[in-house]
Amino acid sequence: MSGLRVLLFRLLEPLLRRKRERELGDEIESHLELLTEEHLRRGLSPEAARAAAKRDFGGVEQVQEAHRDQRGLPFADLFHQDLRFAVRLLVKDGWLTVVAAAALALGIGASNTVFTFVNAARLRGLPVDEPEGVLAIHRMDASGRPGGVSYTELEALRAEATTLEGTAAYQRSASTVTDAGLAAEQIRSLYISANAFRLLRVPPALGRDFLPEDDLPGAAPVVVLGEGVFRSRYAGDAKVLGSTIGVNGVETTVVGIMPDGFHFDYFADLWQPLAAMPGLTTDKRDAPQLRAFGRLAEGFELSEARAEIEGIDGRRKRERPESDRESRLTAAPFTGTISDDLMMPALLASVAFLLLIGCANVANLLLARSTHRAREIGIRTAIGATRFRILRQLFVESALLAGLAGAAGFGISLLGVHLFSNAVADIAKPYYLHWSMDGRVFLFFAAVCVATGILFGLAPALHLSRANLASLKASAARGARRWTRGLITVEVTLTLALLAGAVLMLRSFVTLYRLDDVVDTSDMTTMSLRLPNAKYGEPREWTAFFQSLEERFAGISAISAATTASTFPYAGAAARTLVVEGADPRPSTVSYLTIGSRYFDTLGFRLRHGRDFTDLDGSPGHEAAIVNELLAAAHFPNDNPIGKRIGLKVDAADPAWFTIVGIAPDIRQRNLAGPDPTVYLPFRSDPQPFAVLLVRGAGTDAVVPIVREEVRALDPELPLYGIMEMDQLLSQSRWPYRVFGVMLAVFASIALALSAVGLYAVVAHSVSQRVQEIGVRMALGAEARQVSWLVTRTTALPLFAGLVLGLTAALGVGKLLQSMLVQTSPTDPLTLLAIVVLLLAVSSIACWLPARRASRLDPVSALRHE
Amino acid sequence: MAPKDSEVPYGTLDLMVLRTLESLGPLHGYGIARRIEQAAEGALALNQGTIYPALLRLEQKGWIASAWGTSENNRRARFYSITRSGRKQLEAESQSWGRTVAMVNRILENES
Repeated sequence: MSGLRVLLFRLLEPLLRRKRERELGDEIESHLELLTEEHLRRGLSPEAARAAAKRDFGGVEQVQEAHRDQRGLPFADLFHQDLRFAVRLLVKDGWLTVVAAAALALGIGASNTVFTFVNAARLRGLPVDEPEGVLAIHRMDASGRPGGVSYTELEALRAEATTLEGTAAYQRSASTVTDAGLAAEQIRSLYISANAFRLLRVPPALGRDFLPEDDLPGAAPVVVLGEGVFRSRYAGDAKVLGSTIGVNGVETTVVGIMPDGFHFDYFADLWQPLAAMPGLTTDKRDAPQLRAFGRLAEGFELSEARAEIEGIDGRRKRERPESDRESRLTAAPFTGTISDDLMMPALLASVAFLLLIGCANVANLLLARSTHRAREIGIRTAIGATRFRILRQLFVESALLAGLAGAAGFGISLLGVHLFSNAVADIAKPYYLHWSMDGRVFLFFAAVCVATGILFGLAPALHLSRANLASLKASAARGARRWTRGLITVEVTLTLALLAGAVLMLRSFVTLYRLDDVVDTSDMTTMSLRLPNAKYGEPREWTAFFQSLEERFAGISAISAATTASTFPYAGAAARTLVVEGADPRPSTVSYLTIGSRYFDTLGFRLRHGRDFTDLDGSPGHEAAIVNELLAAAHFPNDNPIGKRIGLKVDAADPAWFTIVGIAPDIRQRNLAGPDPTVYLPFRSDPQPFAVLLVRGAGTDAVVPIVREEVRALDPELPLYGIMEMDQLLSQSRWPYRVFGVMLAVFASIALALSAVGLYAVVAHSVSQRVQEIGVRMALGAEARQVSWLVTRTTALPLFAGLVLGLTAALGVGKLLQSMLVQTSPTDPLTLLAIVVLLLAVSSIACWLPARRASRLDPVSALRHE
Repeated sequence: MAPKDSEVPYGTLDLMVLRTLESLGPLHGYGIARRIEQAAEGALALNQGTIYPALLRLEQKGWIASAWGTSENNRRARFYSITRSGRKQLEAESQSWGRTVAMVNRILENES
């Protein structure tokens, strides 16, 4: 009851403030007069009586302040006061506000940008219900690279895993769709387990998804279409449901349409049951060709599922001693595997550094100001402000600054996300990746703003609130210097670490660029072709088809060179286990390509040794192989590899043997960060119903219609797909280095600029504090050099401490980035020396500018300086 | 070292103000402060100004009321008087205070 009254009373305060204030003044005045009269009656002089009255009454100001606290809503009221004061202060220190807010805004903007990516790529997960329960299951090889699982393993997981609600598998493919009256079309597709959609909890928009019986060998062929195909090819007409269409030459019933925007797993628009995959349950049972995923059963954690899966794998390995022992089956969050594992943490760390540098910088600027503030705060303390009150005032100032910086930083992050989206726009990415901000990003952003406000406000606040009028100036200056030195060290250390990361990444990018220069990519176009199973059942037919296609190209003048291959250069490759005849049986993994007869010609490769394949190679009795230099150097360091025999095998199968006939130059095939050992076989050694075409000629626009015509001449129902310029393909394979390298470089440049501004501010402040002292010294004959040293010496020691710590940090950064680096040593003395020199040069300029001003002071006016 | 005049114990100023107003009727701030000092017989170091926030607090709670009037020296002054709920509060507080003092005394006697 009385609580309510008090609240009401206090709420009315803003309206009545002036009246109440006046009344209190009157009341106090009359009180003082009564007291004075009392003292007069005791015989004191009027002056003495008035003084005694004041003494008895106590501090009028304090009483008024306490009265105000009691009267209004103390927090809101004071906050309003603090805010007004803070705004005035920030406006007064215009340049300082701008520099401080800009420093923070850059840090906050960069953090929010990077967090937006991390959120989209890692945290948000699939756009399905309870995405955190969906796990990717893969076979991790000894070097930590994820690979596929086999059908047998899928069956084992289904039979034994109790931590999973279910396990599904899929393989990416491209399916040719044919209908009467419509052009044949190649559509990205998946072969996928019947239970997959239910595990994902995404029901079809129309019709049904797969039933368990659809996924049995010999089941009637069915297909589920994506919304995209449904709209574009069938005009959204639901009559297609239940009708039959040709899929890879097989009459197939359309049973369902998936909802708009669903393209699991990457950008598929058509799904067939896993059982429709050729050879799945027969000769390819043990091929690690499937991608698997599961959903956690109710009440289980990822770690439990992982342990169980690894346990199942371990048991199977013991039962089959011939199996690959170096790899292991494991599970990870589904979206945890889509991007490079290293880059996200590296970027997060670098923006955290940037943010810290920004905070250190602002703290330094505020500290530089604090020597002036010390006087003001000392006086406020003397007239009754509590330490809490001072701290709060300082934090309101910090919060205001953080708020300003946050607003600007948010703008910067919008721009950053926009730039990043553009930079990666043409990169194939999964359907659920949208670089958009959501609640989690906003939460992060708010947390960063609050945290920075506290972080940079802390040093000046703690330092200043201790000030008292007596020991004011000297102690304030001394304390501020200690903080400043520490902050400079932090700034320099972090900047050096960031610079090291950026330089290493950029050097890697340049190295990659140089490495990739072996292929002349100009005027080269790439495309893909798949022979439907129903029409082309025999390996003999595949070889014949691709051979006749190559022969047709040879006769066309607009095409200067063309070839088929199992995959593009730089675009990954199948892996095989290599054994060398008569050598150490320790197996190693190599990249494996089958190529058409003019592969090296078309790429513009000259073989280093030996010869190219002939039309005879690959036929029985002529098992020939070409290896790259890397492989030759690794396995035949002392002999000529030409004529030696090598065996290639998948898993535990017996190796197939080939004789080396040529040595090719190195390119990056399977490995992003540099060339890998590679074996090339003639296409006919291991025919596939699939090939990529590499065509060199008068540009993509001119070449594609010609190629299309030639393909149509062989088979009018075969669509070309995946048409892309080789340059484009190559730049895609380099994009992480380009994009992340540039991002790190931008962050490092910002860090460098911030550090320079920080150092400048510190030295400039040191000059302004010591103008009189400098005047005295100069009047007594100090030289310009001595004066410069006087003002820069405070920064010299922390600068060097920062350099030493920073070098250590740089080595650490290099170690962390090692697996991303391309022929670039993280401890390369030249790189380290270069960044130290750069940082030293920039810092020296930042210190030298204000120092020079100090050395040019006029001693007379300096002495008069107040 | 001579014992210093003690500070006003926390929370007792309200009680003293209420008691003063109850026994003496409406008074201005000066009068209340004077009266409390007299009653304490110099044992209390009271900055007279500190009673104003206390008066405001009591008025906000509705335990006292105030009205403008004229002081002995013919100046405008605000006169405070105790309200009915103030009397009730004083009653309750006095009893609780008495109990507290008695308890503390008992403890002090037993321990020494």
